[in-house]
Amino acid sequence: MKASFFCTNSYLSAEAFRHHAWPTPPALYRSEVGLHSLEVALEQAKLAEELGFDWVSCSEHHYTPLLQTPNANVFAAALSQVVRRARIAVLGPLVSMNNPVRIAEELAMLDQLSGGRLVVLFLRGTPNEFLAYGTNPEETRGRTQEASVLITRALTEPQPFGWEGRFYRFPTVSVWPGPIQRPHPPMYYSGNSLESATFAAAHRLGLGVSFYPPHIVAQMTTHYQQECAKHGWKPTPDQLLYRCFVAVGEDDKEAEALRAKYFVGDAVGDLFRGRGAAVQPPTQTQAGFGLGELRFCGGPDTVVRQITDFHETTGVGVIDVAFGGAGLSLQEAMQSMRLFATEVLPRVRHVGAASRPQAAVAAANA
Amino acid sequence: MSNATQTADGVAAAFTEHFVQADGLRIRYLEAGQGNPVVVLHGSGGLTPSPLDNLLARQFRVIACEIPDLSRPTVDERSQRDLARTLAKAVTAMGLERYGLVSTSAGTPLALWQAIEAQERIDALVLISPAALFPAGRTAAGGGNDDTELERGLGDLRAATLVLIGTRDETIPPETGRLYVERIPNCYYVLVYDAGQVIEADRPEALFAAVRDFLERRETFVVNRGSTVINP
Repeated sequence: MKASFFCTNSYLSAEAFRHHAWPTPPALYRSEVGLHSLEVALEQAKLAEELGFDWVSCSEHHYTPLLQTPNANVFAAALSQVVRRARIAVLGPLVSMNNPVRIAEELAMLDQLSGGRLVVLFLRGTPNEFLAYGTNPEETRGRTQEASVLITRALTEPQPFGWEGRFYRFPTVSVWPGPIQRPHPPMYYSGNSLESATFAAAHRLGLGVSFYPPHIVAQMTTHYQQECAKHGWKPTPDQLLYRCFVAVGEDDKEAEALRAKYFVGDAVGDLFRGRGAAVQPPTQTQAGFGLGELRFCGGPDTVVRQITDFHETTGVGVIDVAFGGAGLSLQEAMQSMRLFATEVLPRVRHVGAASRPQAAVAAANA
Repeated sequence: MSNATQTADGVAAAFTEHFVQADGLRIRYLEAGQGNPVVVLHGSGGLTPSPLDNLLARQFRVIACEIPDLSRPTVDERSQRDLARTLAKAVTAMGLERYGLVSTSAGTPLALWQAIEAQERIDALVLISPAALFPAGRTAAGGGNDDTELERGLGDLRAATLVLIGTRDETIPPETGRLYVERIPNCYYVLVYDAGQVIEADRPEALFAAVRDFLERRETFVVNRGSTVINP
């Protein structure tokens, strides 16, 4: 099992979280808090690498103090300069609502800035975020699919080409600089629906599932693996990615105390209040979607068991974990992260390793 | 004879059937529309006005030519080149001096030979799902091989050339487009998203938009002239 530290760059003041709706007004932003928050986030990223995390990740989100990374690629550029060995995982840019050629150019730059350590996941976005750039929610699935194909082509095509799409038309695409990793950096597709898993399999992309409980994740990964087989290939455990929230205490009791205050109020639910309520969530996320749930929680023994069971149920080989709900203090979140890295991660390293190609195992252990 | 077929939006163009003599062959063609002339060489599907023909006929004079020998099981290099010359003579007999030339799939070698040998007459060359060059290890469906003589001649081709390939084309993979760009001096290639080998069946309007733009503006098709003003 590999572990990715989800570096959220959260705003470190409770004041901004008292606006229980989306978007959060810029009037609540204080520059000294924002600067401090960024410094802490970059320190956390450095610490994650020192503690043995394989990846440090970030994700595009808009108009909220929960995750201050409206351009994940800009933040990843900063990460690439303080995290020197771990992979820089952009999980991901919202390709449903950005210029895909610009995204391709930025990804190529990131692969260069990181010396070939970039990982990317093509993300559709949460419904409230479609309001940020005025994107029609009904078109976001099609836009995400087309953008993913276009970005992949833009990163691999050696000659200038044009694109006549359903949503995008670019007469001239010729990305420079190109990526360091050839043919391209590892790529994943958001896999929170069976349709998305089908698309990922058809395009030989890894699958990234987020927040769902294990039995639904297993539905996605099983379907994905079946679809991959139809297309004549078999994904490695590293190509099955899961994002979730984690709290590790010295023991179960301490972890349960963290659970009780993990999310202050309903900070995640607030994303879908205010203007965010104007957009219906996509149908595939209505049943069982676990955004705002704490997936792995307990003392080290408990979390080791939870992750081991999770892998056996789902086949997932990389977990992308966030440690701080808005209700935890920075110290509490960091202590949880340290416990995870020192008491849990070494005991789940072997999980899934037997399924990896030997060369990949050797590289992972190097 | 009138031969009316419909486009995806239900608009039909009235094609009329004609014949012309060249090199002893009686060549059949269909014609519709007014404007700058565009000669279309159809692939293995035969001569029936296609959705693209109908769309083009809205603003061009479209002449869709039947390729007499295309159905022969083996066509050597010489006969391809000779046939291209014959078709060029046929177009001359129709009274056309300069024209845009459009081909689909198996009609590609003939269009390329014609563009190489009659440079001064071709306004613009459009190759749709072209079947003349193939990535290493692949050959044409039906067993045809790369035409070495034709490939050498591509460096002399001066007409502005557009190659269009569908992103889901499993016979002519999208990356084939770069082979033409690398060999033809003034060549552009455009991928048509979510289209297979028969682009005009999957995305007729997208294909028409690209072909029309290129026939009208050639190299300057890369400039976006569409307004982006929302409310002036």
